[in-house]
Amino acid sequence: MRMSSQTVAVLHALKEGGGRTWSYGYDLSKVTGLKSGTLYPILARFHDEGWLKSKWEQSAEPGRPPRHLYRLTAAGLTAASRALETASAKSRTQGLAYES
Amino acid sequence: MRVDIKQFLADAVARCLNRCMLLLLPANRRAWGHALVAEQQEISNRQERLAWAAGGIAICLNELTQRICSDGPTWTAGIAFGIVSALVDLHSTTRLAVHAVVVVVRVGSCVLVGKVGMAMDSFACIEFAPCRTGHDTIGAPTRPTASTYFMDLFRRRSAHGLGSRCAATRLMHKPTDH
Repeated sequence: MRMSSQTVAVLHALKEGGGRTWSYGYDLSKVTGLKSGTLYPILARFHDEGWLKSKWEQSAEPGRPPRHLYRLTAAGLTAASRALETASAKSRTQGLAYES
Repeated sequence: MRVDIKQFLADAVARCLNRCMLLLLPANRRAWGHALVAEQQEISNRQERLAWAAGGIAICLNELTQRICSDGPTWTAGIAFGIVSALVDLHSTTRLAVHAVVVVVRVGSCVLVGKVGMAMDSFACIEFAPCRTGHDTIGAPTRPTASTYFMDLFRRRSAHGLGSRCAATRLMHKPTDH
């Protein structure tokens, strides 16, 4: 999977809390600063790869549709760690290149 | 009771965008569309809510683009054949067709290649040749088989008994009743 900066940002947001907490789409959007049109295709890709677990939760307020929650799977956590390491190494290399 | 017109309009536009998105999204991505709509209820800011709803349309366009790109060979073959069938006319003495426009339409899993002819003896006729691409849903691995287009065409040619003439060209020129 292509790791764009947006993809890495979503992985980072999902990995917060050890990847054990469920997150809402809107919360992820606020944390990452991504719009829905960017966020949801990324989440769908993670889901297709088996990195993301999702579930529906009934809304506390009556009349509102159930909300979708997301959490990283074990494979997702491993992939996230690897992707974040690669991203930080890349930024370090770019920083060094910029300094020299 | 006072109605906030701006709020009413924003809600109407958001609802319209949601409906369009759910209509345009392929079946395997529709759950994501419902998830996007559900999250929208949590957004209190009007503009933010509209932007969130507009994101759904962006997702649809993204899916459409991916579908077209993944199905490139079929599109290319369809368009190429359409152009050839528009330029060559075995009925004319010059073998060149005039006053013809190629139409390529995608309907479901089929690419339809057609030619709109404007000959003197026939007012206008559109004939489409189907082309099965061999996949049903977006996201599933695609195996576009452009050759099925030609197989279909040959099958039609033999069914119509058109002999060695160009099937597409012949089909374009249905005799008119006088």
